[in-house]
Amino acid sequence: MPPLTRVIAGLRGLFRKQRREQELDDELRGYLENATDQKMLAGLTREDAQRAARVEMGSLDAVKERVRDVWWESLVHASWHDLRYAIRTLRRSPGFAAVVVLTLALGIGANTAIFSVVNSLLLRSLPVVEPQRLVTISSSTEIGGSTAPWTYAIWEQIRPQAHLFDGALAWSSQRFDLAQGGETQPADGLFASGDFFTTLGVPALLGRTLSPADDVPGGGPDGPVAVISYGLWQRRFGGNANVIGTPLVVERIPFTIVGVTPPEFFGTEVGRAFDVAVPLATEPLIRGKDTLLDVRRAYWLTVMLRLKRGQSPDAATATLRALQPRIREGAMPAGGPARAQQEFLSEPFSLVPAAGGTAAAIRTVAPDDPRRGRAGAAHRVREHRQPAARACGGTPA
Amino acid sequence: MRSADKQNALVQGTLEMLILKTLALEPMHGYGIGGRIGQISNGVFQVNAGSLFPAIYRLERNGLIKGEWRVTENNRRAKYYALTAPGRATLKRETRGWEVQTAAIARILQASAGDL
Repeated sequence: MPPLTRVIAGLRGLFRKQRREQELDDELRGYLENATDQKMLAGLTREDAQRAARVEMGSLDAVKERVRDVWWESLVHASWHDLRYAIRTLRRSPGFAAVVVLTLALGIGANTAIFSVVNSLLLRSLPVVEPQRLVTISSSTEIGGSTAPWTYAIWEQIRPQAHLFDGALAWSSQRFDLAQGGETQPADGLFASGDFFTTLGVPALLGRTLSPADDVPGGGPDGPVAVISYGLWQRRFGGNANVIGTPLVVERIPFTIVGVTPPEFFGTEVGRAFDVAVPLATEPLIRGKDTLLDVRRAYWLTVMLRLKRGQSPDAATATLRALQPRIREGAMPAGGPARAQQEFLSEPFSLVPAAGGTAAAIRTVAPDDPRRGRAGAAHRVREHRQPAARACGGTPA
Repeated sequence: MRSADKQNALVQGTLEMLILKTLALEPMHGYGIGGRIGQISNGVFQVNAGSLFPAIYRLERNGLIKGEWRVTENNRRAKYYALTAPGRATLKRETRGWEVQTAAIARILQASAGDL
């Protein structure tokens, strides 16, 4: 059978069943009518003839059922033949069969995997209050490039402007070692600004979250404090309510646990969880002389704004760009070529919605994500781009 | 087989052969086939619909007969069946096989001690 004919026959088969039933009905009705005619010829009245014909035929449904058995028989028969034919053909060319099976397996597997990723990254939204009002500040020359594009100096300039929006927050993801000694106990950590949880709208499940008072060098009135996730609270402390006020060693430095976040809050990046959050300003306690707070060329922070109700992203961008010269100047790295300084000043801010998860997805699956590195090496110090190097296509130093 | 009515039981598979033979004489619809078998056998074989139609459909599935809708002499639509070429060949083969078998069976049944 030529392929086209086969396709047509297959399509026709889809409609055949209904037609077949209809034809069987017609045929059996014809049979009854013929039998009735025959009996009327023999002298019976119409009613008697009809009744006699029906009795002789028996149950109409039983007859149909037996004919359907034949159809079934032939279907099973044909399928069995097809199956055996297929197996014989495949056995004759095992290489081809293997490729087909592998292709199907990979195809199905890849689809499943991609769906899981898309589901967890794109379809879920951030576990915060009104995530659609959250925007990430990015520098427009680095679309999808940098994972944490801001220095602490820039954050210090942006923070006082938070009142122009419904708040601002900054954070850096970090691997922490929670061991008091001996074997390391790695955990996903966050350096978070004092307004981090309140701006996101994440309340404490237990105790309190961070406050701006905690976000000062060396720690606020309670000393260095930490907020832990529900997951860590369950894993490490067995969900004990007495955990508030107990010490937690982070990178060998004692912090005090002041709060636990709700179970649904996994952090600010869809697809990644956090265990411990400590104030941004306590970073020097942990990193010591390697602190990045004063390094004006260390780009390690993500900065987010919460838009006011009714404040459009465009309006917020305009507001931010109007402040740009002041922010940039206040955070300008010292030295470097004049052209690089000019570039630093003119690089425009832009806002990317944080809610869609798309930006988070790009960030999370970026293969060279520096924060996936070892603790301590998990920051990136970006040098000023040298115009000369860029002009001749070289990589930035 | 359901057509195995009382003492006149049809040997398995025989009904299909009889249908083929009936249709070799002339194309016919379902009721006609049953009537013809009864008529030729002088009423020995009464084939009911429950046996007839499954047999007809099986023959059609196997490509031995082919149905076609036509108008009857009483101006009704009916599906007329006709023998196909494979059907004709099958009938010929089965008839020969049947003759050989019945002759052999008859010889056995008529055998007496003297024949040995």
